Amino acid sequence: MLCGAQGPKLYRIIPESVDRLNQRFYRMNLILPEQLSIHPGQFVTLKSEKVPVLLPRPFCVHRWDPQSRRISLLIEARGTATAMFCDSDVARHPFQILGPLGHGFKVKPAQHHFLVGGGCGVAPLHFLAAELLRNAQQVSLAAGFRDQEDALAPELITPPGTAINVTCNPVTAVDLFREQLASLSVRDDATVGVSDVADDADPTDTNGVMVYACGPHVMLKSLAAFCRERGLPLQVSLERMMGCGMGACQGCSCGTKTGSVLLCSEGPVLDATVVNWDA
Amino acid sequence: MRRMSSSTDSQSAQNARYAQDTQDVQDSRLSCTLGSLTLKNPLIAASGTYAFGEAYRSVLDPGIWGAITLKSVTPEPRPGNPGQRIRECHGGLLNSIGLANPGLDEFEKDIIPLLGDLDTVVIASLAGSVSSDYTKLAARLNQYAVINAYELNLSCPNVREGGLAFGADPTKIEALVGQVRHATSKPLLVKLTPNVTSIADTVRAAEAGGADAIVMCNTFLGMDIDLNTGRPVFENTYAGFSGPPVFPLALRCVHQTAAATKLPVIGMGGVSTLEDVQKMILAGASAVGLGTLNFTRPDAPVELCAGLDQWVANKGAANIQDLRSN
Ligand SMILES: Cc1cc2nc3c(=O)[nH]c(=O)nc-3n(C[C@H](O)[C@H](O)[C@H](O)COP(=O)(O)OP(=O)(O)OC[C@H]3O[C@@H](n4cnc5c(N)ncnc54)[C@H](O)[C@@H]3O)c2cc1C
Ligand SMILES: Cc1cc2nc3c(=O)[nH]c(=O)nc-3n(C[C@H](O)[C@H](O)[C@H](O)COP(=O)(O)O)c2cc1C
Ligand code: FES
Repeated sequence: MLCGAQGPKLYRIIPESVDRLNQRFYRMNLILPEQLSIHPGQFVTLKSEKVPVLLPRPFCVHRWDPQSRRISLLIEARGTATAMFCDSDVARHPFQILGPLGHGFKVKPAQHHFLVGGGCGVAPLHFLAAELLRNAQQVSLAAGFRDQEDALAPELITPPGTAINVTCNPVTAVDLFREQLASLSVRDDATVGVSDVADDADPTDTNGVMVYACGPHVMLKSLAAFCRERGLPLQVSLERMMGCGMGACQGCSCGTKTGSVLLCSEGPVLDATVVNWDA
Repeated sequence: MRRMSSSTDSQSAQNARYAQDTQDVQDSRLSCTLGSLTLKNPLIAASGTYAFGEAYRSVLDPGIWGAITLKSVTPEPRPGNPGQRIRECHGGLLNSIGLANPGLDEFEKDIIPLLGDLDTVVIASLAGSVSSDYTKLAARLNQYAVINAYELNLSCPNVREGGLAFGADPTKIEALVGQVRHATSKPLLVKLTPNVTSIADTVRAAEAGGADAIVMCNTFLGMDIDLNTGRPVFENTYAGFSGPPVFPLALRCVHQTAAATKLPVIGMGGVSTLEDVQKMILAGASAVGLGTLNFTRPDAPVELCAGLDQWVANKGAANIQDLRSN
């Protein structure tokens, strides 16, 4: 596996800011010392000397502005490291950041792009939506959170110009997506606002539709079943424990229908049709 | 020494400059020998944590290492273990990778052509489930000058039918090392498991079989249990434990190894700071392996080399080997 000198970079940087978004989520902004080529769906790993965990933790790139070189991560406080990374005593010190890592979403022009996120799985969708909008694409986003208190305001999830719906259950984000899809196909004008069209309305033409998702396994699995049924192309971003993030340890292997892949280097984004959803 | 192309302030560019700047002093003060092998410094990337040498190139020039040990290779491809393979635990790392590797044919075809670019001593790690696997690997790889030495992995605790049986039994160790010794003239490093009652017995067996150096040690057998299911986390139940918490255990093993043999010892297990490297050397190691540290601080060798060089200078020694206890 050749990364080449053009591969991921390692920096030690004090965050520019850490913004609490609600009780569960915060956003960490870091200014990278150089411009990098980063794609939606790629991730970085973070480690702080001030946090007593061993392995660097992986986070998707939430936003990336090449001009200002500002990279933003949207982090859910889930365990030891993620609870401490936002601590002001920790965030005053440099973080080791390694990235960009992995292969992100394959972005191609399409009639309409549907983004589905559950919990911290909304993180990569802001960057993805921004990239799509920059290319004058039509974007809808359905986001699900555990409860009202965790739910992020729409403007924190995606840039203006995206049609967005938020629910308080990651799995029902799939229902929201189905409603968005139905309303699109009924109106057939590719301008999406969300209407209260019946969610079982059968889209007559799903050609040109692309679906991208990141979130809990149950959500992705239910979405994959739906997309398979409708013949919709779906790309999913998956999670695994990671050791090196660079393809060196073989720790993040994920069995697929076409053999096992290392999620850190061959993923984290995979085509949903190759994933073994019941494994 | 390979130079990074980037002229920016990136860590990797700094590494490259640093590596370049420290090259000359390393050559004189940090160089060390393992039998007939000469290393520019005593730091060795541990097998299974560095893939086939290229994985970290964009953050660290592989030429900074004294040597790189490649991922263990078996004659046939191995997919590795199913289920969860790694888990952080008590500040260390449990792994149950299961010797996932592409097998000898693909190793020959796809990996060996890349090794010449590593600009350091390359150690191929050989693994197998029967002794003829090791001799077969050694015989086939003898022709490649780019492989400077073999490390026999007699200690991988993850593979049910494999390593552990050889590494735990002095009679088997001696026989196996003897067979490979006859199959090659390359330097033979024998990597042993710490999961035995008598380190001295396994070390002497490897020496009797014809080892040129002893690598001590592989991971410590551990396990974890998922409180939600009440079941072991890993499908193989037990997993190899590495990282900072094993350091005192590994240091003891290295000390016992050095006491049991006059062969050079490569000490490893939990090394994560300059002090750890120094202690390994003081315990009798000629060279020091870094494993889990590559995951947590992939550019660590830059600082470690600088620190070691300073240490040798401060001690007024001509070479780092003068600081080793015998
Ligand atoms: C490619 C990738 C991208 C990710 N992107 C984001 C993101 O953008 N935003 C975000 O908030 N989180 C993201 N995660 C998840 C994040 O890495 C974990 O929540 C974090 O590592 C947990 O660390 P901790 O010390 O807080 O938790 P721990 O105390 O280590 O564990 C808490 C819980 O999290 C689980 N966990 C720990 N590490 C991982 C991991 N690597 N993958 C999955 N589950 C884990 C544990 O099993 C446990 O249940 C991503 C994970 C991956 C693999
Ligand atoms: C993920 C992982 C994979 C490993 N694979 C191998 C291997 O293939 N062959 C081997 O001889 N040792 C293997 N090891 C053991 C290391 O080479 C080293 O002996 C051990 O991890 C102790 O050193 P450390 O604490 O510095 O990691 C592996 C260790 C880890 C963490
Ligand atoms: S995390 Fe090490 S190979 Fe993927």
